[in-house]
Amino acid sequence: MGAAKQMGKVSATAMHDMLNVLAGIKETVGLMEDLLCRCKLDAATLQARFKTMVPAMHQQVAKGVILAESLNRLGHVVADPEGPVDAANLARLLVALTSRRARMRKLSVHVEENGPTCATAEPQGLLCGLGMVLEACYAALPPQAELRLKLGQEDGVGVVRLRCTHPEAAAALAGLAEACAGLPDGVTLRQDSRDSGWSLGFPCAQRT
Amino acid sequence: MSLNMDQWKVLLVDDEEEFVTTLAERLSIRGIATRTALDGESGLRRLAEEIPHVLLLDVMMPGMRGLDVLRAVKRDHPAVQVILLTGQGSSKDGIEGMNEGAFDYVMKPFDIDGLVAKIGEAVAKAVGGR
Repeated sequence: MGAAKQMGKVSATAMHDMLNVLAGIKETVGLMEDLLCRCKLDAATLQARFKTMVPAMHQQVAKGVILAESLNRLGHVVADPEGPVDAANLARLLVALTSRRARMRKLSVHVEENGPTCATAEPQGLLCGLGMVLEACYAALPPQAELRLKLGQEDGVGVVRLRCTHPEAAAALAGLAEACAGLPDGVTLRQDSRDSGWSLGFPCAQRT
Repeated sequence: MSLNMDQWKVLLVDDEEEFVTTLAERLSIRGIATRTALDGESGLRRLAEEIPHVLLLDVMMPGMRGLDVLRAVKRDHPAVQVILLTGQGSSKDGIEGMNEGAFDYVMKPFDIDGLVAKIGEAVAKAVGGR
């Protein structure tokens, strides 16, 4: 899958979230308007209602800002593919922007800090590869599963280790390699023999 | 037979709690009795407790998806008219839903007056079909 297609999928998911945010703001503003124009409320009641609605609107705006900023940063990665880019930041962006897909399946996803991480010289490879793996995990894992991503380096290669402690996770992810056929050049996926987790390898530019 | 707005019965099912509460209140201000649920499973339970004329149904929800809820409703309560709510730029789910028997679909964010007009049309069809 190309970076453009992956970017399209990620931005469609993020925009769905954004439209929900805008719908929430629109309805809250609409309700304020209704309370002002349609309901005969006294000033004190009106003020009390507005006091509860304003924080909700701030919350929605904050959610929208995070989405817009994340999408903006990801857009720059795709538009300007010259590395290096901090791999952990890229992974966090991708997880944040696809969180709706995880929520739909009642999954939780976390990117763990793991000491010195690495920068990838080819952000598009990691973006496509990790995007494909996340999508396959979202589709395969059972509800309530918790997926943990840990970034690091092994023998000069960048690695995203994927772990899930759900009892059905190993069986659910048995077909992960097949589901992720066609990974970008230089990106590899293998199952770890020690704990049946998975590792996504990607070209690493330097230690940070 | 036509019903006054204050006789319309609407059930709103969407996983965005703030949105659900606010939209339900806006419809209630307009005299439309609106009950709510935050997921497909509880939506079906609420629907069985009291059959509404119109179900406003989010397409993308955690757990039971909107289109699965739609199929269950059309199978068990075919007179209930379903208006799908979608936040997606693509109208694919809405069109698929209409092929599965939905009355119509609207994309979020939407205009409340347009939604109320659509609910009115759906109520007329629901009452005519009972």
